[in-house]
This record gives sequence, structure tokens and C-alpha cells, in this order.
Amino acid sequence: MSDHSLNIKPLNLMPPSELIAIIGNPNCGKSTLFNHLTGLNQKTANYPGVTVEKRQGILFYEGQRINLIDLPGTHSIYPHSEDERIAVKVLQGAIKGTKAPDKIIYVLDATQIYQGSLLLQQLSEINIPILVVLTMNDIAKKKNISLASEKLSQLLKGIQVMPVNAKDGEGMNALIKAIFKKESAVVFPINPLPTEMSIDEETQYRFRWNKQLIETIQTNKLKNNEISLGQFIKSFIDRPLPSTLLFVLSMAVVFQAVFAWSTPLMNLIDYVTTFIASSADELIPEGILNSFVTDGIIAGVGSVIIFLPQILILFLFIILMEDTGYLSRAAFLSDRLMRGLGLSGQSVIPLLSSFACAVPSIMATRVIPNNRDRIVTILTVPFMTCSARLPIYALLIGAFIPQQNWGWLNLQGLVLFALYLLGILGGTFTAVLLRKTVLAGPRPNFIQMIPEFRVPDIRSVLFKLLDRGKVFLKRAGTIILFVTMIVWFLSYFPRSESIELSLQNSLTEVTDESTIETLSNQAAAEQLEQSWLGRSGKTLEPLFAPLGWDWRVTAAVIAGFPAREVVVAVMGTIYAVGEEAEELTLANRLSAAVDAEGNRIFTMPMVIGLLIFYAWCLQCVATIAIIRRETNSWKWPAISWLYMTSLGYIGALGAFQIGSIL
Amino acid sequence: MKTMADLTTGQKAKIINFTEANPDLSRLMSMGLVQDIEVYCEGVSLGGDPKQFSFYGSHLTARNNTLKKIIIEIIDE
Repeated sequence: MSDHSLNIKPLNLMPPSELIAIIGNPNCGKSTLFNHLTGLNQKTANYPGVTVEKRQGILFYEGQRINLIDLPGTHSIYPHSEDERIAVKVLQGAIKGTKAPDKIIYVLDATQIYQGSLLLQQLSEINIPILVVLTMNDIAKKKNISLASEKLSQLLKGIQVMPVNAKDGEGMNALIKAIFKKESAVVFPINPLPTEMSIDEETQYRFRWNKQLIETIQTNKLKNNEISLGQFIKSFIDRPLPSTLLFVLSMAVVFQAVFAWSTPLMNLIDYVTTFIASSADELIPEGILNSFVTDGIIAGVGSVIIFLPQILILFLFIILMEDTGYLSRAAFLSDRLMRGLGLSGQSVIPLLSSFACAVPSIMATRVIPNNRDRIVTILTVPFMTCSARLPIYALLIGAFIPQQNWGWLNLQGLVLFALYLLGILGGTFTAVLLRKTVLAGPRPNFIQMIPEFRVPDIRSVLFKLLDRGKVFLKRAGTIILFVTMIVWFLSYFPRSESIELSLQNSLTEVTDESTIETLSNQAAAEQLEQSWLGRSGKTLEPLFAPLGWDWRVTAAVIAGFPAREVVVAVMGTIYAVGEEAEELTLANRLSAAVDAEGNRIFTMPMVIGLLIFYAWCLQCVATIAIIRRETNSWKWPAISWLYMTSLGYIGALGAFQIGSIL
Repeated sequence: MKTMADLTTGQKAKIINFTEANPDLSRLMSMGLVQDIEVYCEGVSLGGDPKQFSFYGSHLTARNNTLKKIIIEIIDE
């Protein structure tokens, strides 16, 4: 065989299709247009080496196809953020794997001609054919802005201008026809610069032209003395106190929704997963295959999709807030508060929603334009007490913290509150620390456009929601599933034949059902003890002995690495030894557990230490996977895991050692 | 000499000049906040910072430490 076989390329029957870039200012209606043009024929990936999302799609028309790329919203060809830099690089053809576009669809918001014409002027000088799509015409009409697209086209040196309303399809057919038109008109610079200028001078020069442009084309006479309901609400919302109250209220609704509305859905997923697992358990004979399918695959897939309700609910709210224009107002209102953490108002939503779950919250940090602020937020988010920490807190508090009341104050409640505070403190400390050290930099600023309030486009909202779900399943889901499999493997292998044999022998002698269960539980615990997981618990015991943990706690914590709530189930198996196991609850079994010398393991200092450990550690592979995906590197998840685990270890060590002396 | 940071809700002003050149100010310029345009202070957050402005149908917000570098002339109605 020669090397030639490697060089054969598939015959290219299709001519290389054209690439059209959709570009415009942020919030100009670009994504809505993209979603309506491509429908479900779109996919989201990352540009190489950065975290900016690349949204590509295909437009079909009369047997032809054209590739569309939706570029990040940009104000100027001189970029100020990573997003804008990528947009400009794509236009220059400077991105690996993305060819320079053959044509530009420039999306211009009819209510923002002044602002939108800067980039348009600049793009008219880079030698790519341009088609201007005028959006938001309905809002412009309501504002009494009348625009003649022919006149606008004339002032733009002949660039074709097409008014479109993506939502009701008006003008869409004409636009698609124009997109597929083979010949494109030559573009002339709209407003050539007279001399060499600095960037700021150029910007000012171009905006002077824009000012004249709108004074020429707009007959903008706002009707006086006519206050619509919308304006009335807006004037109310834009006042500091009512707006702050409304913000607190809307945050409470979001928080409540992510926490409470997702619970029935998560229970349903849990129920279905358990049902499928138990059906599989009955169908498949006892043994490796049974355990692999039920505890490995089904439990693993279940642990991935269990996150979907929270992700979808949180994102439904975020997308709605973004598309109505409320998100930037919320950031405006909370900016002062977030400044204390060295962050800006844009971090408030990820941080608040992290009390429900860190995974969607980290995905939500995409609203933060500054990369440094974004990383600080991503590393702060996992400290907040998420819903997965609650089963562990509930178990340990219920078992070891006495039911004591002082008036209406309850000790158990206070401890839970203290754990929430501990999380917030850990997060605050981390944010401040990062700002002072590795992520030190200029004080973040807060410059943002506030879009008009508008009714969101349902189709766009659904597409974006679907996209978030897909991104999570594809990027994070695979890692979660993989790690869950590994932990299953560690807890299942090696199997001890002798434990199995002695179980079978003893089972033949008894008929009493509860005795059978006790014996099976005992055998399961013994199997776990000599599995790789049990062995690693024993190997690592010396490392965790200063925290007061025995090998069983250590093994349970290791098993809880994929998802911290698993620790409760593993403790259930591992501590199910002994005759009284069946009569006692897990909490009682834990308090009864003793070491080889007969000393109690779950002493108060050890329990407090374990609680602190869980408040601070990063025992959640989903969070790690999503940090990896959102920062596009393993560096930050590794740092985050090491840092949080060390902090948790030190906290538990301190609590146990100091507590034991007292 | 007044700056944009001095504006309160409901005041109108004309932008006179920028006291320095920096990336934040360049960014504001690229959003259309340039010499000679008129801005209207639409609202302030709790504590008076950040502030929200409108001009030519756009709304924009920034912190006082950025806004104090933009010199203005208040327009009396």
C-alpha cells in the first residue's frame, strides 16, 4: 500500500457555499433575524481558544444553501471587548476555520440609526458587499419615527436597505431573495475620512455625520401630552426606590422558581430514573451487567438530566429578562452592591441564582462582558449554598445538632443559617482575594447600553432555551457521565467471591425477610469495604484522620465527588452494618458508629468540621465540567477545585482540632 | 465646571469635552456619546451612582468615576 490512499479527498460535488455574516449593534434584533432565517438549522460552538460563542446556521432557498454566521453585537470596528474583537476578526477572515464572509447583512435598529451608523460607515470601507436590514420598524412607528428606506439608501451611497419584521414575517421573503441574488452592488465608503485621525477623532467625526443623517431622514416629532400606559410604567420603574423594590421582587420570583418550580420536575426525573433502574434490576440477572446498567449508566444519565429543570427555568427567566430589556436595568440597580466585591452589576444574576445551583449560574456569567470579572464570578459562584448541599446539611444537622429553642430561634435553623453565611463569606473572601492577586487589574467599570423595553419574540426565546439545554448536555453531560462511571467502577471492583458465597450460604438458612435484607446490606457494605473505593478510603485515611474522619467517611466523600448529595447514599450503604441496621435511621446509625477502639466517630467537632468541609469544597463534577466549558480551559476548574478543597480541608481541620481541645 | 457625574434626574446637558483619553471614554464615544450632543439624565441608581442617560433614542449607563471625566454645560429649559 502506498501513501496515496491517505491523500484521496472526497469528491466535492457541492460548490463551496457562500458565507454571510450578520452584524450590528448589541440588541439590534440580530439574533431574532438569525433565528428566523435559519430555524433549527443552527449550531453553537466556541471560537478556537476563546469563550466567545460561534453561532452558525444554514439558510435554504429553492435548492440552494447559504451559510450564515451571527456575529457578536458590536459598536465599532475598534473593539473594546473579547466579543467585539472576535466579530472584527471574522470580518477580516483572521479566524482559523472561518472564512472571510462574502457578504454582510448589517442589522440596523430603526430607533437607533444615530448609534448604529458608526459601524456601518466603517464597514463600508472594507470591500465586502453590504445589505442593510432595518429592524424594529414597528417600535419606530409607535415612537413616531418615520423612515423612508429609499432615502436612507440614497444617503448610504446606494447600499440596499430592506425593512423587515422577523416576528410577523413582513419583508422576510424579499430579504431572502436579496440574500441569494448572485451579483452584489459595489460598496462605496459612506463617509470617507478627510485626513489621518486618531480613533477617538474618527469616532467623533463619524458621529457628526450620523447626527446630520438622522436630522435629514427623521421627522421625529414626539406627540406631547400623551402619556401611554407603557410610558407611565416606565417612568415608575426608572425611579430608584420603586425600581429597587421591583428588582428585589423579580429576583425573589426567579430564586423561588429555580428552587421550588424545578423540584417537582426533578422529583419526576428522579422517579423515572429510579423506575427504569428498578425495572432493569428485575430484568437483568444479579451481577456486573446489572450493577453497570442500574448504578452506572442509568444513575449516570439520571445525574446529568436532573440538572435540566433548573437550567431551563433559570435560563427562561434570564432570556426573558434579556429580551425584554430588564436584565441591563437589573444590573444598573445592583451595580452599587456588587462593587463591594470588586465586581459590577452584571454579576448579580449568576451570584443570586447560585443559591439554587452553580451549573446554570456559571452558564449565566456570559452576560458579563469583561473576562476578568467573569472569571472572578465563576470562581465565586460555587461557594453559595446550592440545593445539592441541603440533603447533606439536613442529614448531619438532623442527626447531631440538638433540637433546642430560644424563643422563636431554633438551634438547627441557626446552624443552617450559619452554613449559608459561611458560603457567602467564603465567596466574598474569594472574590476579594482574586481581585487582589491573580485577577488584579483596573477597577471594573460599568458601561452599558440599556435597550428599550420590548415584548420578547417567543420563537427566539425558545431557540435560545433549546440551545442552552443542548450546550449543557453536550459539553458538561459527557464529563459528568464519564466521572460517574469511574466512581461506579471504583465502588464495584474488585468483587469478593467469598463475601458473595457466604451471603448465599447464610441466605439459604433464613426465610425471614428482614433478616435477608440485613444480611444483604451487610454483604454490600463488606463488598464496598474491599472495593477500590473502600481501599482508597483506607489508604487516604491518614490524610483525613486529623479531621476526625475514618476510612468510611473518607470513602463516602470520595464517592461524593461526582455529586455531593451522593455522599448520603454511600454513607447509607457503608454504615448499614450490624444487626440493628434495619431498625435505625441513617442518622441514628451515624451517631452510633464507632472506630476500632470503640470511640464515637461523629463527635460534635467532627460533624461541624464535615459541615464546613461541605460548605466550602467543590464536590460537584457538573460544576467542574461547566467551568471547563465556560472558561475553555482546564486551568480554572483545576484551580477552583484545589482551592476550594484546601479551604474545606483547613476549615474542617480547624473545627475538629479546636473543638477537640475545648 | 460641571461634569456628567453632577447631573441629576431630569436634567439636560450638552457635552463640551473629555478631560482625558482612555478606553472607557473611547467606548462611550463608540456608543455615540460625543462632543456637542445633548444628553438627558433619565435616572440614577440608589445612592446616585451609576447614572442613566438618553440621547437620540439610546439609553446608556455608566459610573460616576467614568462620567466625571466628561465636561458638560447644563441646558436650562
